[in-house]
Amino acid sequence: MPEKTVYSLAKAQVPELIAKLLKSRNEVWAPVKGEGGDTFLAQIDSAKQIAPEYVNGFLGAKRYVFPQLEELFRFKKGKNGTTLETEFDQPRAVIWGIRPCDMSAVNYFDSFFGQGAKSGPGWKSGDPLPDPLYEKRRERAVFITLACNQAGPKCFCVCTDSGPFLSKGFDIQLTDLGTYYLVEVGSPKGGEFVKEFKTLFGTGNENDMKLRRKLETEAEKTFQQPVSFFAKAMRKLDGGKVDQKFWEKVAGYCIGCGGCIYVCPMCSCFDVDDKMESDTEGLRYRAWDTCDFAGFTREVSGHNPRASRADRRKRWFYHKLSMDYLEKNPVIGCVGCGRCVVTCPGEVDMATVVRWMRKVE
Amino acid sequence: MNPNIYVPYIAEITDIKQETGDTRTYDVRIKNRDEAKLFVSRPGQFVEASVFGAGEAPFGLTTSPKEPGVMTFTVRACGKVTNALAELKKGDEIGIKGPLGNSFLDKIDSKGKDILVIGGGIWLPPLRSMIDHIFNNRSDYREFTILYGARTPADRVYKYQLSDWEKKTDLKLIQTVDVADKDWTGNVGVVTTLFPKLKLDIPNTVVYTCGPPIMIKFVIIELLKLGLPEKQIVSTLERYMKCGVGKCGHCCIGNKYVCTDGPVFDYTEIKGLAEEAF
Repeated sequence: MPEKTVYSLAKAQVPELIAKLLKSRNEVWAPVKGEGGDTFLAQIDSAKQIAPEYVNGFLGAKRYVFPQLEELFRFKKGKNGTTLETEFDQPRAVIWGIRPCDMSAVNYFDSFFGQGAKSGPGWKSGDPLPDPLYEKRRERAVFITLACNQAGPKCFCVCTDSGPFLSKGFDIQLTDLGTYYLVEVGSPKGGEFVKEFKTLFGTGNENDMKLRRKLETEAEKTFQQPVSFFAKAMRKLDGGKVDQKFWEKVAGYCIGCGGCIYVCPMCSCFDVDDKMESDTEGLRYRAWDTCDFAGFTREVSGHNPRASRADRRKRWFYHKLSMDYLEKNPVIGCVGCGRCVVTCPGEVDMATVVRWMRKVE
Repeated sequence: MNPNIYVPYIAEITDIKQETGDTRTYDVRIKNRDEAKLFVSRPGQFVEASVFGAGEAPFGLTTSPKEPGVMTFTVRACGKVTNALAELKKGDEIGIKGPLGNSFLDKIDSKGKDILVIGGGIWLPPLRSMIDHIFNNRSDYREFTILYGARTPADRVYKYQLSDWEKKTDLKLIQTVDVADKDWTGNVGVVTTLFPKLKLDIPNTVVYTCGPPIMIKFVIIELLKLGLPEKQIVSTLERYMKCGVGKCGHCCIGNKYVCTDGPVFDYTEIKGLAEEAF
């Protein structure tokens, strides 16, 4: 295997790099500490805002690539009819320091929202329809991930092949080597980025790569509650061993808040609605929505195919774990970020339910 | 459809027919000629129609159009978008996204077969596009039977069309209602009570059905009892579709997106899904 091109970036150079990025890009996003100590991905205007230590922030990269609220187009009603404004300038952005699990989720979004046949004449049912907003937003952003030398207390990415280090799927991956970062380039976009700021990057070497591999192995030992039995749980699920009673038990602990879905970096469902801003002008937008809410499938007649919470919980876990979905999505619907574990007030998160599922007879 | 999957074409309502108290049929034309050329629908497909300010909702196309950019769909006013549509008049503008979804023609090749169409209530309109197609290519098909059930005689859509169809010699139309009125001389009962009246050539019959989920459920049970092969049972599925382009997730049943994998399925595709389809 040809050796990867690697560079180094002294931590002392980061403020200068960020300052340059703030001048050359529309937006720079990074993990920041909010009130109350939570970390979240946010737009920054200085390197000082970047959180020095963090596991992974709430919401993660989904917050950037698939905003909670996004305009699809604007309309204006005039004397000569309705006109639509459909072109939006997506920002040129850099997303700094997201964790490998979140990058893996973006890679999944690429296949869900991005790739595939174009629509238009010749489009056949079943062909994927690329989302133009997502595509443009993604295309104009450089993603710089920070590998995890230490797993967080609720993390289990080691079970979902989405961390603690990535071998591909990033533009640039940083590994913390103390006073500097090892810089791995994973895409042409990442290569161009390093070239653009070449005065700030040093050369990397084979010793750094050896150290990185050692750190990866050590990081894999730091997981506290690994749930390395997804495959077994999935076999139980697809083998018909997980019955309705199981989902009723899960639903019994669930309060239906939808928290697991909102924090999940892989959940992509949304609602669509219009908003008028004056008598003649308005916009169509999408907003995150969840299969956890009874209204998600309720029809105008009042009929609801998923009226019970047990059916809705079953839906979520099936979508994430059933082999049926691997026909459509190349990966299971979980990157082991542990956010649902932290968030669920009823403690029926992915890790717990997979653990229960493994044990069903 | 438009290469930007969320953006509708601007279209004009060219005619409105009142079907029942709350149900209307809209004839619609895409205004821009170049855009109209991109809109070529096939029987079974649907559109997302927008009333700007109220939102968009999905409607099955009811005709097999002879020219691009022209379409017809039938709407019962019962929600935000459909009530907004009911306020509109001839000449008003709406948005049209589509054509979306697959076609009855994507399923089993039914040329040279007997055709049985089974529709219920407001779900006759999507079937009408296939019925239209069969009439346009009548010599391709053999015996042609339509069963249509509604709650009451007044709830039937396309009454003018139904009386035309009744007169046809190359079509057998049998209607039924759950509750009759004093003028009703036809069958009373759910649509499956019509099955004993049929003489089906089982190996050579293709069934197209569309109706409320409970109707489809019992229609399929009865068809399977008669021995109809699963591939020959072609049904639409009903779910609340928000975006219509396989992204928003509302219409999923198991791993199927009704909007982009369907809305037309044969029985082999919908049995054994992770969730009950109907």
